Amino acid sequence: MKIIEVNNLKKKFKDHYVVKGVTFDVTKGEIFGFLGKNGAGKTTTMNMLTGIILPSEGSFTIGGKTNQEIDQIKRIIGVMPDAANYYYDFTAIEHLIFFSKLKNLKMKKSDLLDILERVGLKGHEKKKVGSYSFGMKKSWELPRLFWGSRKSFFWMSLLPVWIRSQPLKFSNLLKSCPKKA
Amino acid sequence: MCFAASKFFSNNLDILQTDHAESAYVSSIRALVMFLGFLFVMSLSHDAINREVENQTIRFLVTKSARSSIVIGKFLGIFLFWLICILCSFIVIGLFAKQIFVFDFLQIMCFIAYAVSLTILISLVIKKPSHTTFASILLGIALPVVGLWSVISTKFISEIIKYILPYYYIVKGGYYIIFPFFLSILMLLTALAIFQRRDL
Ligand SMILES: Nc1ncnc2c1ncn2[C@@H]1O[C@H](COP(=O)(O)OP(=O)(O)O)[C@@H](O)[C@H]1O
Ligand SMILES: [Mg+2]
Repeated sequence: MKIIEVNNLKKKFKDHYVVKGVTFDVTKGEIFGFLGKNGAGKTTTMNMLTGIILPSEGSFTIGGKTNQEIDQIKRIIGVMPDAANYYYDFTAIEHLIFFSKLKNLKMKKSDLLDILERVGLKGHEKKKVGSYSFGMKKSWELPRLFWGSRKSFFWMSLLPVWIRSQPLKFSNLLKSCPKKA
Repeated sequence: MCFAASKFFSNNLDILQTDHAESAYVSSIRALVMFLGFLFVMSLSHDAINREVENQTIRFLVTKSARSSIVIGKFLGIFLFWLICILCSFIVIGLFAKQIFVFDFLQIMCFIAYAVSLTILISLVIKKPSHTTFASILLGIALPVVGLWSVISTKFISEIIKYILPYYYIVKGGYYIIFPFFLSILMLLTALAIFQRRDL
């Protein structure tokens, strides 16, 4: 069963095509790496698939929903976007509460604290994210991805940084992540 | 603060009095909102959307909820903040006057709805928060001046402006107060349409 299907997806900024017709599909259960050199258009493609930017041409489906039904797609994917900032006035736990409410996930606070502990942020959950180190900022980003996803999820380019900085915690987290992911 | 200001106005101004009997405090709050409402709402919330787009935190929202929910959520957040502020002053006034001023409250809230929708629209159309900082102060001062002028003036251009801005409807009173609310909905729908097509 195809969980993601991308058909001749294109994106142009002004009159310049940045993504010139991408086609691929991903089967259920498959771990799919999307590689390319710098500036190839990976982030632009991912931004289209996750509803951040709109495709210029072409189409895609995720979990059987088309790009016209992007709001329904948002309910079944977990995304760690390539964002340059966070809500710096929020603490880690406040972020998790906010995001879980955005996704209508019924998470208990103890579950959220447990997630933070598992990525090594125990004791830092009440600190404002603005005061975190780079690695710590990535650490609290990652758990959100897991429980935000029901069917598929997207790791943007931040993942390598995280693996490099916290290899052990990453493998622990992978082990605890649901099988269907 | 609203209450203190209304006390000031009630002693010093008797502007915008309508026919029906009402507390001097209420008409003062209305004058305060009409003169400074745009300035308050806009200077506080001018960057409600463009700041999040610039910081890219909007990407956390837009990958999780519908774009329409984001715009409506922004509207409700700002609107409810002012609703609570003004409701509190009306409760205080109500206790003093031993009377509930429902109509006046609704009238002010229709004006606030207009100001909030306009603020959101501007925060979408003007992409730089530093530019909306400036625009919010400029418009916050200019809109009441132009708005009240358009109600009084007989020039052709004022005939158009007075139907676009909320002042004419507030001065007219009665069921006219619903028009600023309709215009607010119209602006919010425009904002929605713009936001749906925007790359974030
Ligand atoms: N908003 C934009 N406006 C104009 N050009 C853009 C925009 N976003 C990305 N690009 C260009 O598109 C190309 C692909 O970018 P990107 O998708 O980030 O590449 P990758 O993630 O594969 O390194 C780059 O040349 C980049 O400069
Ligand atoms: Mg990239």
